[in-house]
Amino acid sequence: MLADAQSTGMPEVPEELTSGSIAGLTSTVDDLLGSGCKQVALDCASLSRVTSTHINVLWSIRAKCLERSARLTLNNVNENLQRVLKVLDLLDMFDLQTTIRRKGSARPEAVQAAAPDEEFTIRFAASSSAVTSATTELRTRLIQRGLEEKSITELETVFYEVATNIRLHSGISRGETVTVAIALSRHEAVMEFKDCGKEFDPTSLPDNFVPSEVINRRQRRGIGVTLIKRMTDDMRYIRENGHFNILTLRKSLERIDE
Amino acid sequence: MSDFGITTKDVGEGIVVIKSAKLLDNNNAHEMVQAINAVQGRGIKFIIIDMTDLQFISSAGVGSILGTVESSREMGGDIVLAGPSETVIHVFRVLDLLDYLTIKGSEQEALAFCGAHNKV
Repeated sequence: MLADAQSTGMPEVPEELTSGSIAGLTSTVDDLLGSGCKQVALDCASLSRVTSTHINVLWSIRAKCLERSARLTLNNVNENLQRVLKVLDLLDMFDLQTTIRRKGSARPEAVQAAAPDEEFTIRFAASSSAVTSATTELRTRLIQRGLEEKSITELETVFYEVATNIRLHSGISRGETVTVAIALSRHEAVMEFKDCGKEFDPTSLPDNFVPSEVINRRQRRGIGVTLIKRMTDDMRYIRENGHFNILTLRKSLERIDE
Repeated sequence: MSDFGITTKDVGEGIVVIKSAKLLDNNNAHEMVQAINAVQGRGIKFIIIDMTDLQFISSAGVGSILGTVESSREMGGDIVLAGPSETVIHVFRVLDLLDYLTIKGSEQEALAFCGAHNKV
């Protein structure tokens, strides 16, 4: 059984790596893992400059986490770090989050993006058939929009998986409605899911899908979360006024007419 | 065929084809598991899942396959996915499953694969 899934803090990866700062960071991670923490998040906001030493440190921390069956997440990952990891073919080796999930009464501020030129709302009841119908409705709108098939597939899949998670885990009744506000601009899609179910932050769920383990253990769980996280560029969650779950997902788009 | 209907067909030589409908999601993933388990329970080693009509697969649909493929492999057989669209393949690709699943471009290719391996 997992220990408390939330890390007790978020150690920061310092930009200046000295033997002292490396030892300090490593020690902090060791303490977290030793306390039974199964989800370690590192704050990479300071990494305006990424060196091989940074990568070595991150790699060794990843190995420590794997030894303890813990999940490592790199938070506040900037373009520099993403680029270095991509060049080194390490992007798939780390769980990257470009934002920190926020909780509070304020709505998440907009990430830099062009103003949407199309907005619509899809509402559905918390039933399996209604989720399927709503997903089909979304697909139809996206085809009309002229999006490239890969973007349509990913948005459709994310919509379905999030909607299904809400249906299955939020505790709302079949008669209650989930509202999804969708905004499309030339290069981005934003989907905001709002439901009145019990508090549930899907951004805290780990993406720990390992094909060989799933097949060997005949597991069928956790695939939906993995699809959501891998098919979106940004996820933010807030609990609004103690009554509503608001999950906002952003995804960059490809258009077939470009 | 409805959007969710799953049908099973014996094609001989110890091979069964299970045809997926347009959608394989939470509405019918359990039916896929039941269909596969029923075939495996008869000792059939090779199952072809005809995905030529499949337009959307959810995590539950993926799980219905992943949760059963190992049983066929332990029997010396396999579950072969036939004719999936690029849409479906993309979902498998995102999940890093392309190296783990046996995928063929058509039912004919899948039958040839099963036939060849069934003789070994």
